[in-house]
Amino acid sequence: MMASLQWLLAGILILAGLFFFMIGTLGLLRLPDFYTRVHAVTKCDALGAGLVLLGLAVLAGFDDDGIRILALIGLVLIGSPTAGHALARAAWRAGQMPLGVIDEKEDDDGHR
Amino acid sequence: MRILQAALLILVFWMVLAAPLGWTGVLWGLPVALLIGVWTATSLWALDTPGTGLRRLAGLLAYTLDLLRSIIPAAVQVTGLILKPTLKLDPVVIRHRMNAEDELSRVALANAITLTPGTHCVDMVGEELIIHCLEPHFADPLSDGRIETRITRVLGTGTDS
Repeated sequence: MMASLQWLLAGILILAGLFFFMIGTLGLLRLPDFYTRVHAVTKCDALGAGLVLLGLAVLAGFDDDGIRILALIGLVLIGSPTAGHALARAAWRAGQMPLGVIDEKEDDDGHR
Repeated sequence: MRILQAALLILVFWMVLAAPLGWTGVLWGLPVALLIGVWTATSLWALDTPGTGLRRLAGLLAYTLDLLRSIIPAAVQVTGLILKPTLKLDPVVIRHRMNAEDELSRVALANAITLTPGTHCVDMVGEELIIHCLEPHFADPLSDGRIETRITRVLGTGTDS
């Protein structure tokens, strides 16, 4: 009983993670410009990989493997937005303009 | 002291990831952790030292749960946006003035913003974060400063309580 509950919960979490990976990929294909695509990719990493790993942790149970997987989740949650910043910042500083409205107040700080 | 703190944190993290190494693991890990600790303490934490006390860790857990509460509804909204057959977006770039004084809180805030679907940090100019939003309303939770207050309470380095 306990084992099947564990599998059920893990299955739901992993499927949810895969769903977010799919949404992220779809976003990458459908969204119109660089910045909106970075949105999709970063969230796909954080939510998708996070949920899949959480599902695996449930499956592993509360032993050393489970704790290790939880530590990996922490790593993904710090690493993925950092990579996202690096991408977005590089594009911004290279002068890539986003679609839509830009809050222009006091934009005299060297951004082209 | 700071070097030891950093080295210990790195060693523990490595032991967790590579657990069944036993004492040889500690023997190999300790010198390496010390080396990385020197680098961490002198360049990475040169400005602020994050606290590693138990109360801080408990606060970190509470903050993580709080962050999840704001991530999940935003994720649902972004999913809806992407799945809608007619893709109509109204992206904006906004500037957000940070109240947080210390570097660590600022990094945590930027990461929280990027992790929350719909908002993505682009750059930091002085006291301001430049944030790209998929739709203007995704920026709303930022303006009341609740997340920021919580971050400074958990991670802030003393000057502001």
